[in-house]
Amino acid sequence: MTGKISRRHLLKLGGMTAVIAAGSALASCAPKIVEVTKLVEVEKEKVVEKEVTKEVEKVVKETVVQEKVVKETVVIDKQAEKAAAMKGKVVWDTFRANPPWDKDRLDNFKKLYPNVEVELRMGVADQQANYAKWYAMEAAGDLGDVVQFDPSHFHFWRAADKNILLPIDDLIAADNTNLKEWYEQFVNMSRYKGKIYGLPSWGWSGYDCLVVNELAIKELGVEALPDPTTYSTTWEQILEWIHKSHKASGGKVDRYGFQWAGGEAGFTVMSRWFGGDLINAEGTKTIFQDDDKALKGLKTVYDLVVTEKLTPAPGALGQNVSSEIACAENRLTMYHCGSLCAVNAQRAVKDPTKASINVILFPKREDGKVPSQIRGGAWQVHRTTKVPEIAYQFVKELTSKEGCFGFNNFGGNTALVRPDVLPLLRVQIPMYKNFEGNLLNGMVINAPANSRGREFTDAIAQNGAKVIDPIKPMPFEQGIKEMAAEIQKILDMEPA
Amino acid sequence: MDSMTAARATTTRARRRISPAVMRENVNGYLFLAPWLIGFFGLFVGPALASLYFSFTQYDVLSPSKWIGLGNYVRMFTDDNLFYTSLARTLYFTGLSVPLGVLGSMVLAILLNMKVKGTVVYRTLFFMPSLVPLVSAVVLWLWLLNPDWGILNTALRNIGLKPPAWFADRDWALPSLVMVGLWGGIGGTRMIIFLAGLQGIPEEMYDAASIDGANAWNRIRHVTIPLLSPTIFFNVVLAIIGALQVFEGAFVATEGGPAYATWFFGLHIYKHAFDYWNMGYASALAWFFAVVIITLTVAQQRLSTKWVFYYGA
Repeated sequence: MTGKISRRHLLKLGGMTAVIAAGSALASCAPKIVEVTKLVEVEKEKVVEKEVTKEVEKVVKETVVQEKVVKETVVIDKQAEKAAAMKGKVVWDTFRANPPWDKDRLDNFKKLYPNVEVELRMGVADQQANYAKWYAMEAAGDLGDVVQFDPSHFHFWRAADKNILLPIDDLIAADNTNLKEWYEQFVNMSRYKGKIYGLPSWGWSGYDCLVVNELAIKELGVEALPDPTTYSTTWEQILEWIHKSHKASGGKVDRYGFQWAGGEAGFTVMSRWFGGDLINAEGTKTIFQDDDKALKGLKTVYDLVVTEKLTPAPGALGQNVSSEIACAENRLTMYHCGSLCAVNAQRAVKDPTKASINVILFPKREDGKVPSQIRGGAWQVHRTTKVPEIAYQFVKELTSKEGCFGFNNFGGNTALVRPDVLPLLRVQIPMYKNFEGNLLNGMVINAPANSRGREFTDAIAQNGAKVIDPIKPMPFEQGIKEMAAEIQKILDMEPA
Repeated sequence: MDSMTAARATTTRARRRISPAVMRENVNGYLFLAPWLIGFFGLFVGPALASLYFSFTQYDVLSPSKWIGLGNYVRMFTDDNLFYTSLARTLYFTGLSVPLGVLGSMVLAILLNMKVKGTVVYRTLFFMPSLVPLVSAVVLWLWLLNPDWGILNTALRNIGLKPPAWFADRDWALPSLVMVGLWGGIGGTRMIIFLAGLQGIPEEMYDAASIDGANAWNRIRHVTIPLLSPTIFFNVVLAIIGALQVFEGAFVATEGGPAYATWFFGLHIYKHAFDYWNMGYASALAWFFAVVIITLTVAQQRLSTKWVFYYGA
């Protein structure tokens, strides 16, 4: 930590600079106005008058801004005083085995809140296994004050329904927290039944793109992929590239054209590609089986995988990690994933003559939305905490600019939840610039209304694998019908 | 009445006769037993009885349990698609892995029981896979059986065969797990038990059989197998119980897939207990399964009288 500037020092320096700047600006105001007034009186020329007006407006604006900064500095000082007055102990339950990041957060918080003690309790590293532990701790009355039940893993809704989480709307209001610090969609992920239950800490625009080895496309005579942010690549082009880049001879495949994404998120986004969805927004009904737009997406994949066999057999490349490696080694042209995988694929490239990783964002739908299912998690306050204000402040620390940026550096590329962090990350990894639009406009999860998210994800993954199975094919219509029936059974179950 | 009174008096006298030294010894004995007794009742009997109670309730750990009588048991037979399929799959796995595993271990033990040079080295080599934790073994086999680049499929392709996709194929995923189990199981503890059993067969039995003109096969058939039958029985019982509890391989390698192809009963219980948090229903599934295992074990015990031969009994 030596050599680092603490937040408090930074704020003090900022405040002093702001005061000096404000003073300078105010001091320089008067002569200019006088000078301009003279010019107006003497020359009476319209052009000059216009310039003068502009100049005056500019100065006034600057003054207002500087005054605001001074006021904010005062507010920050008051906040610092308030923070120093806070006393108590917060128990932080986490599963991240990330000592440097944890320590940074604890050290930062200690500087801001010197009289608050934070106890770090590390759970098991596997997040899914950790939820089981936390539920047991909740049952035993031993869960900490700050926890993380993630929407992406469908535990958030269950935890909220089971009164594990504290709605933080009042704390947000009392603290005057500006929710625009985070991308709106990630904040929305923590909204449930009209209340907010957490602040976003990690997230990515899930399954919103095709990760592409651009060299494989260039082999086809394409100069370069269009700028992803223009959303100008068409489905016709994508399908053509998949077909033409697939290389097979003598029963051996040298390069697969495409790899699809199984699982709940993958299926959801496939059904969203052309404007449909898997289930309704209320989370009560499957809708894909009767929706031509949803079926078009699923049928596109079915044709590529089952009929034309342009993809590796299920499991042949393993999960996404193997797809990344295959793409980086020029054994796969493109695969369905998101920013998380795109950056990992870039890192996996060992030989630049074999692969250059780029992305194709899915074409926008007719309704203007970008086909995706944003994924992420939030830190939350435990409902029975005795120190809600302090716990909330610690949640803010974890989800702050520094917190998210630091977490991103640790986690690789999964904390794209704050607009002020993205520019910093873009410096490190330019690939991130492609995803800003989707972070702003990504589509959220439609969660089962009965909080049966875990059963829901299993039903989609297992039944979906049966539909899109190149080894033991079944008719598309039959598969869809059976899959819809199985998912509907889950949605019809009584609330968890 | 008189005789009862006399008996009571005798008992009382006997109690009184316990010397302080014996009493101290008893107390010390129970104190030494205490850690095990506490563990047995606190961590096994207690939770088992609790799960029996929960099997009659709707219980999600976070809310108080609600008594629903036989509701969970009715549900498993009438409203759970995966109940019958996972049970059938588990029995299929058992039917495939137990005969192959027990037979393989026995044959290996017989081979390693021969007095040839380097037997100790062979025994060690064959025992080593059983020392590899199952999870590690599964991960290793995921690579070996990778449909595209796996060493096995590469070899099969090189000799002109069209290999299966193993764990990725609905029809082959379960046999693949059997294969992993056999790799680690054939040469393990079961083989050691067979070796011990073989070494307990008196040499004179073989000598007598040889004098009577029995060849190697006949000696195995009429001497080794009958005298080894108690060991075979023991190993079969344990192997069936172990196979019915199949879980780790499916949990790590396939997560029950593809398309439920390795969704075993143990995984079904786990999912309901620790992923879906239907703890009451999971308890009912577990108790049903316990009854299945106990029934099969008792049936084997009864059948054993027809084929297990206890030498000298």
